[in-house]
Amino acid sequence: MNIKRSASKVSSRTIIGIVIVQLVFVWLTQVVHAATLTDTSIRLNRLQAGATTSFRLVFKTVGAGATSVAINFNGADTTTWTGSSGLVNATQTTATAACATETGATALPGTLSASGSGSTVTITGVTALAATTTYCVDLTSASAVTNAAANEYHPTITVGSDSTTVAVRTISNDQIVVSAVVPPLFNFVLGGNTDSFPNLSTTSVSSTAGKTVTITTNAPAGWIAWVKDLNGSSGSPTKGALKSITASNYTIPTTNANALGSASHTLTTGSEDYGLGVIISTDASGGGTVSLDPAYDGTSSKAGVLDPNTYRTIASSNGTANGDIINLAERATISGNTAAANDYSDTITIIGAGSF
Amino acid sequence: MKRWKLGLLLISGLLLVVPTLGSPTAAAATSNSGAPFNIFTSPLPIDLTGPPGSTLSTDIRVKNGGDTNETFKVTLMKFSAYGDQGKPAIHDRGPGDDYFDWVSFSPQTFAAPPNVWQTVKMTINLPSTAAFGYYYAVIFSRAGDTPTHTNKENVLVGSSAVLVLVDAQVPGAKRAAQVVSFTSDKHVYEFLPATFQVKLHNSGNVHLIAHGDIFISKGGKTVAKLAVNSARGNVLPGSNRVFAASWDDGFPVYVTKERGGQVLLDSQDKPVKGLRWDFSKFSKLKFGHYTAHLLMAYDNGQADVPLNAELSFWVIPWRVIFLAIAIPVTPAVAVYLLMRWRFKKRLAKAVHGSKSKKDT
Repeated sequence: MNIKRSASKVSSRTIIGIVIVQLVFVWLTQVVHAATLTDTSIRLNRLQAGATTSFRLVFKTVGAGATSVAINFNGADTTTWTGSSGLVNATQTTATAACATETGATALPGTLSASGSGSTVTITGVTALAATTTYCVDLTSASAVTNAAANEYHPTITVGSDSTTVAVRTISNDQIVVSAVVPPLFNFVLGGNTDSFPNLSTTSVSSTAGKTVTITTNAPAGWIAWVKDLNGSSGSPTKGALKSITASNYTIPTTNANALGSASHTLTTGSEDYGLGVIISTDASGGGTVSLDPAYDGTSSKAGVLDPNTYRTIASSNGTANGDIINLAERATISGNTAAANDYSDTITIIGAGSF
Repeated sequence: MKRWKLGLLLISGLLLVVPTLGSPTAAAATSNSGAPFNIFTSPLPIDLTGPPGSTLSTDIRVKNGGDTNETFKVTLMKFSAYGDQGKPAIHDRGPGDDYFDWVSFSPQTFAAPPNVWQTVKMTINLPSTAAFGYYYAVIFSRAGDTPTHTNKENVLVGSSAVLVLVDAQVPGAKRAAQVVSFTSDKHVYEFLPATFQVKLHNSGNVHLIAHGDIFISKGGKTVAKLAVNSARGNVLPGSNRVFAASWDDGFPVYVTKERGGQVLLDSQDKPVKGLRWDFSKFSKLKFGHYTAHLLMAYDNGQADVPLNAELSFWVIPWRVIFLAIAIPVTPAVAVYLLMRWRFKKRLAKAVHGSKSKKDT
């Protein structure tokens, strides 16, 4: 019985001893495995003090098996994050795809869930991490943290039992305001100064090849173009005309049945007539709509009566123009008794402007 | 040296010298007279305000957009608004237009190398008698561009204008505007856009800017808001001006056809329109009776003065309605007709059968 009792006592002691040894071993093992994380960083997406921001965490594990990650923004600082007007938001959201693509690190695995409390953001739901692997995670809430006063802080990152301290800097202003001015512009291009007629004929309407006016403007009210003629016909009221010096200042037309400002008309062969026809070569898209003034609408070979006294509108646009082009061509017909000469000519002045 | 040799040498020397004596001036005057005229101006238009007796000035920037040296000159004209639509018109100085004398430019004529911005200062010395509005058109053109006619050739002279509106502020200034008309281009639309025109009349003696919105509502609920005169265009005193606004947020919608960055034009140079069926915007199908309420305002110098007008119009997309009815009805009618045909066929068979029986 005594032998039995003493045997029992021995075994109890032995067992207790073994347990104590095991506990010490486990404790020692744990102490040995609480290593320092390497290649760890926090990138705040805004650095300005007082700004709310998301941030990115990148770290490299030492041991394997960690299933949680914690970021304590106060770390071991004496001037702490939360003591310097910094905040950690209670609601946190995470994402990993972008950071993995951008950094080449492994996306933090698992069904991640994050929350903030005090100065610490904790990420749970992490699938056991592999050893010596670089992981990353984005805390995507735009207000994941509120930056503390401008200073350097040292948050502690704990991954399982491993941890490290990193440096994070906040500054007084982290943004450059970029400003630019696009001045109001008007560009007017007249494609050339001379425009020749073929020999005028009693049996056909002669037309010059025409010259283009190209207008580019960012004037929101659009543009407008006017013309005025130099030569006046001999009739009254005087109208724009071709004139020959050598033929005793003979003008075509001598008179004109069409009134100034009336809608453009089709010229009739066999009688004297002269006018300007404007067509739209390009109504550049994305801006205003180009409109021909009915008095100089040159479509269907029509022409309008030129005015030697007043500038008359030929075309306009109701908005901006990115290269609107109109073509100005003069048209003329003569009668059988029109004075022969080879110096009939005219001068037309064109003015363009951005509308008021 | 013999005399004749000396003479030849002299003549040869003269031939070398004479062309260089005459040509530079001629070249300077007409150097680019046949080349394209390419000019940039900024800003546009220009609004200046000041009391009588003050001096107003503004910088106008000019650039030669061509690739050869030019000489530009500045001249002065005036502008106004004419006609029912209030289109701008420019005029030469007329008798009694002494306000042209208040204006000076520095420089008046200047060399303009390619792609270099030049600044021309426009100074207006408003006399103590100045009052209300003055409307200048500052014209930039090629200096020395004296047109030379050759046989059968017309000469075209190009110029660019910058419009300058001057308000000589005096106590008697009257800023007043009225809505002359508020119209839509149709009373009944099948599909949008619906285009509205607002014609304003300035009955005051100074130019003014009126702007605002057209609120489109259906059943008391606002469904769209269209800006009117967002470009802040002026209405000159004693004239009208028409502002347009278009409601195009619909399905389907008529759009201007474009190709290669250009608007497609018909034979009359009018934009070609076509229906765009963007089914992602099906929810924007418009149907029913709509009211367009115009609310604009202008500053009369003391407060904002509202301008109101209202019109109504219908949108009846009859083609869509027809399709909506036809899609379920057509199969039903087809089935009905088929069944009737089969019934008649059976009936005819049955009648034919009983007749045959009777005959036998």
